[in-house]
Amino acid sequence: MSLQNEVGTKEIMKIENVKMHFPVRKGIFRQVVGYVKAVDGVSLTLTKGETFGIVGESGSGKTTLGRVIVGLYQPTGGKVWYVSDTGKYDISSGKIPLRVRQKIQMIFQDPLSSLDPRFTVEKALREGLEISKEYNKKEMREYLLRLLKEVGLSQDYFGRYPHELSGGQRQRISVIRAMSMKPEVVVLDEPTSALDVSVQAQTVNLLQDFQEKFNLTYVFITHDISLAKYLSNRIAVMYLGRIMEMAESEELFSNPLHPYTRALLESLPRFEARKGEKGKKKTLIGEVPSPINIPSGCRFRTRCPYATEKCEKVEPKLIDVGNGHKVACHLYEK
Amino acid sequence: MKLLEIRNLRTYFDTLDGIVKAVDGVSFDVDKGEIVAIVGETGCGKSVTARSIMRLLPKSAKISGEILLNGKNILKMSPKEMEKIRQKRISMIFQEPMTAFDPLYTIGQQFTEILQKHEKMSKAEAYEKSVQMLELVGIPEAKKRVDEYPHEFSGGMIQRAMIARALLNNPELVIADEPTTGLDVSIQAQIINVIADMQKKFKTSTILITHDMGVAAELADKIIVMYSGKIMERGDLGEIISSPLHPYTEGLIAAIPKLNTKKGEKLHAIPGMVPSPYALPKGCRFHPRCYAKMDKCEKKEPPYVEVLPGRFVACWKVLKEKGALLNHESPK
Repeated sequence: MSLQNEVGTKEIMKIENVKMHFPVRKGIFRQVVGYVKAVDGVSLTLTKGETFGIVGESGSGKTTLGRVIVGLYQPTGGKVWYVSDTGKYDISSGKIPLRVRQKIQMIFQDPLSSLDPRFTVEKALREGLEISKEYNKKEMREYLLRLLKEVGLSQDYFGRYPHELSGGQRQRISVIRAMSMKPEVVVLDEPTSALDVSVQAQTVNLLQDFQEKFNLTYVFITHDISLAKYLSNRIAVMYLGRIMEMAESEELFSNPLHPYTRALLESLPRFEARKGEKGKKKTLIGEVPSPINIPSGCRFRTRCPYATEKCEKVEPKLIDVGNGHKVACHLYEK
Repeated sequence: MKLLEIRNLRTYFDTLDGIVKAVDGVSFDVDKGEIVAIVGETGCGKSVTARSIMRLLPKSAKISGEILLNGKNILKMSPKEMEKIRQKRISMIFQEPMTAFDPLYTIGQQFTEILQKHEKMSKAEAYEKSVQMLELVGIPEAKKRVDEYPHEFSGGMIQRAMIARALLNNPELVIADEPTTGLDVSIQAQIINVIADMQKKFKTSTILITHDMGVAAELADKIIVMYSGKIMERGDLGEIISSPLHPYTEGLIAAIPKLNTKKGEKLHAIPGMVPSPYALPKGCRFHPRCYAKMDKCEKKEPPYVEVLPGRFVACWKVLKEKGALLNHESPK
């Protein structure tokens, strides 16, 4: 397993204190009355060949962070660096040459809305390649055919439209479209959450095959914690735009520290024989507050069973408690 | 005690492209006070089964078979009688509670309307009861929130209100159609607790429709696995989880990543996809995707048989394996 050994050695992306604040405008003059702090100071490093899981509930900012990483949004603060063999590029500047930008791809949650309904599969797949001008017509067709075969679809699918495909097939087309650009980093934004379980497993296996073959780096964004654990080497748990805890996947699950992580793990429906009475799940109180009015101090304190006065005043920093296990909680500060 | 018995239910839709056999010969029972989960993937017929029981289907639907509620066939009832059933005895929890409430009236107004009409309560009594019900499902400051409009409720709160509304008339049967889909895990866990508490308190029977085996495992006493309009397997939840018999059930369970699944271990995928309802395969409808397919499976549809006490399976392989036992036990 030479690939496994390489994981975690070579830095490929560095995200430094990224902030993405969207203005909220009101009134006839569209005055800015506040900001949605979707991502509010996130730093992390991706290493080549790893799968980095980002989990969180709706409103946690995980999708926004994913879009910042691929350069779809220019962050309002912080930097996103892509480190390739040819140099170091600032993705957050928005001024990146095409051949570099295409090395970071994204696969979206809903393939029906990410594929143009008026484009045949072939046209959808050719679009990116034509811009990159790497192949002539014949080569391109051969290349795409090979990819199509790789994901288990026949040549007939070239002429079809997205609505003629099943959800799983559409997602496979999105996978090929991303992979045809020979990316180094792929951000997967809930790639399977619109799919049935049996089809989800097919897609997940396919993504793993691609990763092994091309030594890809994945950023896997999901609300499905079991799936994140299964796929990721490391996981970050996000809440209201910040990372609450980050660790190796095994470590996070065997030794969760942050009260939020613990509560999330407790809330998971488990597919196993039930022990004891039903309906006795330990769970969080209340719901995620609005990202426009983030609570002072620790943003989780309004739902935290251990909240103290300090939590109300001081925002905890993400600190390393050993072995790269990081947590942002006053309980673990010395 | 059996509350609901469904015998050979068939719901077909006449469409321009042909007949869709959405539910194609489904039989099961629901006992008093139990939660029966119907699980399956998109297009398996779980929601149509639920809507057939409520008779909330478009005119193009043709229903046959029997749905016996306390021994009376509700498919034979007049629309007027059926309306009574829907008001008093069976109620439904929908997947998208926001669309199930009227946005122009407060939650309290909608609750009191139901209570005044069907329980013959005075307005004050009905209002009082509405507040009580909201408190019961865990809505904080129920006295204040009863006068709010649906859009003022968050996703989790409106789902609680939906559950409260379904229980207003003390129904005998509640049908919950994907009650936690689209909710965050922490909110989903809250709703699971509410459903379990309510069932304990009111002793209502519940049919839980879900695509999430995890949610089914948290709540159900019995489980029904459907595929392309038919029941593949049905039985006690614990038994099905620990020893699924039908290859489809096996595959579904193996396809879910569990917390103890190792990274790098391949997930078990069921090959292929759900067949189109316009072109169902001959014989067993699962056979093109089945690892244990035999010649027989392509030709003849397997019967739906009780292979163990309380355990029903429609599969030739299982029948063959358990066949000796069946012959042995069948009375002469």
